[in-house]
Amino acid sequence: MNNNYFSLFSICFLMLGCNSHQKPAESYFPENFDDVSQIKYAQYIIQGKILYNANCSNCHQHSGQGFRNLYPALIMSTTLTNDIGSAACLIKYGTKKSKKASNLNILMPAQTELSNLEIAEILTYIGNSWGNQKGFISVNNVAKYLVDCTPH
Amino acid sequence: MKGYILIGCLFFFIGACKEIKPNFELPILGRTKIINIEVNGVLTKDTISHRIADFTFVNQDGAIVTNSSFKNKIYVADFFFINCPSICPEMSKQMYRIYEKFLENEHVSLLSHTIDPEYDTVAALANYARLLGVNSEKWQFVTGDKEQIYNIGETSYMVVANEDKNAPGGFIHSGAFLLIDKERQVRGVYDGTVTSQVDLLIKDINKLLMSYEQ
Repeated sequence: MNNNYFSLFSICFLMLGCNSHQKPAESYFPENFDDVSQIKYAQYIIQGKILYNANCSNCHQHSGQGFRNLYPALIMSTTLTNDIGSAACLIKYGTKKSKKASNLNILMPAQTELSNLEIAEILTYIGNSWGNQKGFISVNNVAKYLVDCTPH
Repeated sequence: MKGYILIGCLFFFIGACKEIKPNFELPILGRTKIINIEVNGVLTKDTISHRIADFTFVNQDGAIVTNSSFKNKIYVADFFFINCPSICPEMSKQMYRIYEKFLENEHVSLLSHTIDPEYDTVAALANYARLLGVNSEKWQFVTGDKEQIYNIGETSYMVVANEDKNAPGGFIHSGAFLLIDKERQVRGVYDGTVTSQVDLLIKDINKLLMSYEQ
């Protein structure tokens, strides 16, 4: 009987050890959060990393370094630091295909299928990785940011 | 009797382990054509290999690009468009590796065809090349008649390139890199989105260059 419990315990322990969703080393974790906030923040960061790698890293790269001058780097980003609201709009609606500026811009594609929660997770991840320290960005924040966007 | 079989098997296995000859030649891809020709008044047959058809495009500087722009050069060709959200960023990144590798070698050129010529004008391609930081001597981005681009893609380079409203970005195209020799023949097809495939392409470019030195 005891042996069985021991085996079960071992399996659980091993499974925990195999958990690949570890805190990303490139991300910043504030220390002044209480326990609940800390868990929530970590969830956003971990989920945000998965979403970022699936939807954004093709251009901006896994390391956030971008590529040449075609795709901007997100490392120490002034846009993320000073204007996270416009970053939310960019993720959701992409860059505008303006007729005036001819077609000299490399457009960022719209990803309207991303939910507010997913955008919040991505923003929390990129806003707090690679030297950025924007802190927690909640779903409610994103909902507010998106009101001010001009969809096109 | 059993002993002979064993020895036979042994030789067979040793044979299987033999290294592939490192200097094997690159294949000439595509279907060869058999044509009738007249030699000294006698009607006879000859085979001609698949070659890249004649083309006329315009590059990022607004200059005309034809087959003769690649005279005495081997080149790597691909098909892309600027606002392609899926595979092109990776293709550009991989092609840039080739660019850096052969920047000093005047015998190697790169040729990227846009499959969205309506949006990717000469000015747009020039801007793309500027942001990428590449010179037009080495890496030409070309636009032109849409049908001619799709046609040369499918019949000469043997890759998929077309419009498709259901595909991300509105176009369907292959991520292939094609290695073309000085005789306009296709010598290799590589997946331009896979690092190991592009490593192989870089090796094959060197191999092809060597074959002209002999």
